[in-house]
Amino acid sequence: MFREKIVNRQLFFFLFMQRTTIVISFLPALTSGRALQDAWISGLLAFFSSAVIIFVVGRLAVAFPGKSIIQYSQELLGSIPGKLLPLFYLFLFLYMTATDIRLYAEVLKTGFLPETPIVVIMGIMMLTAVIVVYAGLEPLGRCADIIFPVFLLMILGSLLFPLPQADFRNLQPVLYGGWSPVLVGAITPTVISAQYTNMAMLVPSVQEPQKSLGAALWSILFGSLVLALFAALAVSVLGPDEGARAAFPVFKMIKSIRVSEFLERIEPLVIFAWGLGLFITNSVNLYSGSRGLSQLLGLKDNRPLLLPMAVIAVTFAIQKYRDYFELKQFFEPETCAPVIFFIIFFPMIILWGAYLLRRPGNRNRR
Amino acid sequence: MDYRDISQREEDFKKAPLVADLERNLRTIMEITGNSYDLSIKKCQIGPEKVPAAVIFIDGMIEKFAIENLLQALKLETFKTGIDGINKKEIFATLLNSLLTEISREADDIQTLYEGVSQGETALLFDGTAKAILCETRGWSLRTIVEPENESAIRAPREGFVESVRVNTSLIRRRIRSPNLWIENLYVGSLTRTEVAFAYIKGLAGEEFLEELRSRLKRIDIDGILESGVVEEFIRDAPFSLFPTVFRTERPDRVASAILEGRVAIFTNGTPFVLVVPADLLMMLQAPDDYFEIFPIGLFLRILRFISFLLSFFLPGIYVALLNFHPELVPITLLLRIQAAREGVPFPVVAEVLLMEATFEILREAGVRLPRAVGAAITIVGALILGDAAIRAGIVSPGVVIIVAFTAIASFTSPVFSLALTARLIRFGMIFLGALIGLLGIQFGLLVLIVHLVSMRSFGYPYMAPFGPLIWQDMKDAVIRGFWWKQTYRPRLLGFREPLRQRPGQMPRPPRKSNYSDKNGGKDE
Amino acid sequence: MKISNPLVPIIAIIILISLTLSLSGCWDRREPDVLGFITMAAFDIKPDSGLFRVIVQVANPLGEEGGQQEGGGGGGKKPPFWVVEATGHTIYEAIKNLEVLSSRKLVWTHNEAVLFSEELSRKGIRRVLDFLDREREPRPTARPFVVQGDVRRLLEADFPLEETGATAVSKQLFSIRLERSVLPDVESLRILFHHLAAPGLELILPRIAVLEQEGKDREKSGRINPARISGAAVFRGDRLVGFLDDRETSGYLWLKGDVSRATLVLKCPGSEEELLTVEVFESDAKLEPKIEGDRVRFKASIRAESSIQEFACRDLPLEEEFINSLNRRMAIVIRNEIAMSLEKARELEADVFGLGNIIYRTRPRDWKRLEEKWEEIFPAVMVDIEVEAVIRRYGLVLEPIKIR
Repeated sequence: MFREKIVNRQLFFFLFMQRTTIVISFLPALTSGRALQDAWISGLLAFFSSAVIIFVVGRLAVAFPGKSIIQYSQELLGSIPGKLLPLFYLFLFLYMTATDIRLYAEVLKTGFLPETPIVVIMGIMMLTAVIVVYAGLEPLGRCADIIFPVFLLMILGSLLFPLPQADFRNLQPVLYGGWSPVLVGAITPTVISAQYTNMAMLVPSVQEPQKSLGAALWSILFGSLVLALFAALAVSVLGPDEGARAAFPVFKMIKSIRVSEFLERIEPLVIFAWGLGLFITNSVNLYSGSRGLSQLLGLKDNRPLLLPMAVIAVTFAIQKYRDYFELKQFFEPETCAPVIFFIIFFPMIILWGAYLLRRPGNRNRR
Repeated sequence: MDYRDISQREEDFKKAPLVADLERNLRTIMEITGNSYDLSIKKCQIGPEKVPAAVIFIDGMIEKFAIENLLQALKLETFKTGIDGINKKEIFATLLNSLLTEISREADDIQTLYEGVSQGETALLFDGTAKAILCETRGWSLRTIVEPENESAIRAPREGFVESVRVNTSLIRRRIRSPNLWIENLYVGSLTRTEVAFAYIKGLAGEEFLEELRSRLKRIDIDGILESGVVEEFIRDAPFSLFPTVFRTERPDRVASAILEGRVAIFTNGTPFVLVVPADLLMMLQAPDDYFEIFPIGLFLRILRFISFLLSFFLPGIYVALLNFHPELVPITLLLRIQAAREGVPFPVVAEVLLMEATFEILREAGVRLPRAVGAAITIVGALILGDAAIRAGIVSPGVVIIVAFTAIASFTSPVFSLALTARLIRFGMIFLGALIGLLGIQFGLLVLIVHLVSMRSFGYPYMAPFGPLIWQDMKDAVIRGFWWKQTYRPRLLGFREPLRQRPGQMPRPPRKSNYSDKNGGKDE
Repeated sequence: MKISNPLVPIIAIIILISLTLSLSGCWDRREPDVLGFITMAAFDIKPDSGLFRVIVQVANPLGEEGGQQEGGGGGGKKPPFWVVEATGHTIYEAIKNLEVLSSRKLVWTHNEAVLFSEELSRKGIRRVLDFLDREREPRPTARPFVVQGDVRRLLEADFPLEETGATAVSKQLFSIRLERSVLPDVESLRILFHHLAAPGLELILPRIAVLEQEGKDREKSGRINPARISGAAVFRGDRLVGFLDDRETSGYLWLKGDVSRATLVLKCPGSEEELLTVEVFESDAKLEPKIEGDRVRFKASIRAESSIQEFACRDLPLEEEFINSLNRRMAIVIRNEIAMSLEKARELEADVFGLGNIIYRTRPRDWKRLEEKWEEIFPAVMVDIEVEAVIRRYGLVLEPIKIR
């Protein structure tokens, strides 16, 4: 059977765009926790904690080349528990998709299309994801190739345009509240690194899996830098309190600036960057989810699953969060951290345990 | 009465053998061709033995001069060798070996004989021989080689293809003189038997790809091919796509450059349009001027074209989306002008844009169909008078006319006309999407477009290369056109068999010693 | 080898096209001709009833040039804008009450200036600000002003050089900031919000004084510009407590290091009745706190570079000694301006200079201690002013013309 392959560059693009999209959407370090003007430090700290997640998820994927978590967990744990454990991850993919599109739909609804039903906005975004995953992983990788430069330009634009109006004195004083708010501020960005669980499904399709871990680490490094830069910039432009108060700080920042008398109203820059990034995020999540489910059910093709899964994701997005406040509340460190960490680490601890126990046995056999 | 249908007749034609009896052969031929008036059959007797023979050719497809030469040679040869009394059996072999005309070959059956004759060859039949000699005598009037009208360029060769395959291949051969330029040919079309040839550089074009192309061409089973567009539809990938997956051009320089990259050119007899595969979107946006003008100008032209290409897809859709959904993104002064100009216009913005777009489409189509002299007049009448009257009557607003006209002009910057056609259709889709849900709709359209483009392949070659998949090395000739001396490598996926195209490091530098140095100038004083 | 199905996107597009046709009037789609764009908005409060009053200036496309030049409906050109007002218990209610009075849906997206009347400002602008911050339509780039005088008069006024008041006010603000340093640096709602939230910093806003136009008739009255934009309104919290005049505003800007163009009139050295003018084109300020317990002292070092713009002193050679004395005189003038504004701020008990903010930023530990009592400490804060002013340019001629 012909296996679709992506390369590590595309994996990097996927992961970087996933990461950065969330940054643009609600700037986790600033709006969650109380780090205020020190949010950028939280952003940088999140790099280290996220690297742990990447290592835990990615290392196992690399150890079983060509096998997804569904497959190697069955190999490690046997058929039944090996099938049950990855359900956590499948649920996580659904959860992330729902949360991402809900966030996007919320900002479009509050910012641009107040009267359009939220279902329509989410439906359109899911439809694009279904179309590309239907086309396959390879086209998805190529989409990332094409979108990434545009995305990067938009990110750079939204970083550069506000610069003349930024007052970096707003970043002072550093560590006014001590380290604890900064550390708390790093939790949510780390939780969002749950996106890196996608590696468990993607790495098997990468051409040189041993380098995937590096690609993922680079993506989190750049992603954290972007997060830190945006956090610093939003604070410099809006002021720490205004920035932390805003529902969507980057959007608000870009809306607030006037580059010159004729160059203002440049928020499409951010919204389009977000839209493009979300497209990649959603598609990757949908791919991982559908691929995983099809492997779990023993289906050859993941395509018949796409449309039902998209419908489920949209429904879930509406059902899970009653309003934007609840969505926002979910991202508070104390709410989301235990749930997500459990989902990520519980299966991983068992799998790692099984893996480490089995390895010496392998050696003896040799 | 002969009630055999065409397929039966073709079948019989293919089976008809040549026999040793001249009269029978001629009868068969007359029966098959219906004694068509352009088929000349001249009987004569050759040599001292007076062997009955016949000369068969099609009037208007042969060079008169060649025929005369041939007959001259016939007499000479037979008498030269035939003094000893050449018999019926030997005459064939003797003549076949000694005729002076450029090509002479054997034909064993009526089919081969007729196919030769129908291409302008002259057939010689002798009594007592079940074979015919086919002599190359073709020659007919052709359109001269002129600059292609639909693909003009400022700085580029002025030659364009004509309707004959042989002339067209020769135009390429003149440009690429390596023996490794291989040209294969085949005949397609059960009735037209059109000559289709494809040229490539052996050792550079991928062998699997060539095999695929051969099999696709051979698979074509059709009664007639009148233009390369028919071949195109039979061999192209993604047949439902609006985008051309086969590149077509009338310019030998473009074909030559494509062949040098490892692509294949397909020539079809009877049309000046040559197909190039595998095609990608990028090559549709490259014009000859980019390459022959100096680097900065080529760069500028290329970027200009990319921008107008994007505009021609999205501009009207964005206009509708902005005015209907996001007026907050338009600067106030501009917005108020547009709003003021729209006061009293009876249609919604979408209807207005669609109306104008449709009008422009009709105008363009009329401009193409009408005789050239009238065409220009129609365009002027349509564009100027109609547009102006519509604005004056308050039916459409000037803003829409500007947008639609500008988009139309932008779409014409594409060097490949078929891409401009694509842009027209997709533009309508974008207008609908923009009117449906604003910029979100445009974004949706853009994403679907990207997905569609990246999932397309032309003979296995990714359509969006080098953008998706991203090939950094090929970016030297993508959005920007790099210096010629920097184009060290062939496109990576096409020229994989031998990536290096030229010696690296050929940047021109000033000479170490120069006769024109200031010091020498100083010496003169 | 996987072949993607090209029908999928095509089907999707067909579905969408049919949706467009069936849902012709869908959701957020608005034709531009049903919208009225607000260009300037004023907020006021009725002193008797306490109701909020919202006055907006709406751009009138029919009055714009280019609309219906030929055969347009009878009568003369309509005025380029229209002013409408409504009242309500809350700002939002008042704004929605406007809709009843307008033929078009009023849109805030292009609002360029936000005017607060003096009465409202004295009562507090918090509720107005929340509307401006929360709603999606008003943009944080709008310029805030405090208006002294009749707000409605200002909105209705005819500016001699501009079509609408909004463009006039924006342009005037721009040119004043370029030519004279008599306006505080709060140029957009964004900065306003930030100043309100920042610790140890009180809000200060540009002031517009409405000049009475003679007669109510627009045609005749159009000869004077109805707005004088200069000076500053000082807030404590969200309430207006007083105004700074032009020179005090200048002093404020000196301390902020934000003077870009200040005109200083000096007496000629040697002859007391003759005057000369210098213009400062660059300035810089450094404020350093010295904290001993609850006693806070600031050391302010101001540096100003200027050029001579007008120098008609009789019989004065351009010598080094003379230049030095000019520099000293300039320094004194600048110091006086600063002292005046400091005095005023102390009087109003409003730390518009952000002295507390400087402590917060540079000495966070001290600020934690001082924050609670900053309001009491501020009037007692001493500022040592050190001004270094130099003349750098002299124009195209050096010495004045010698009349013999």
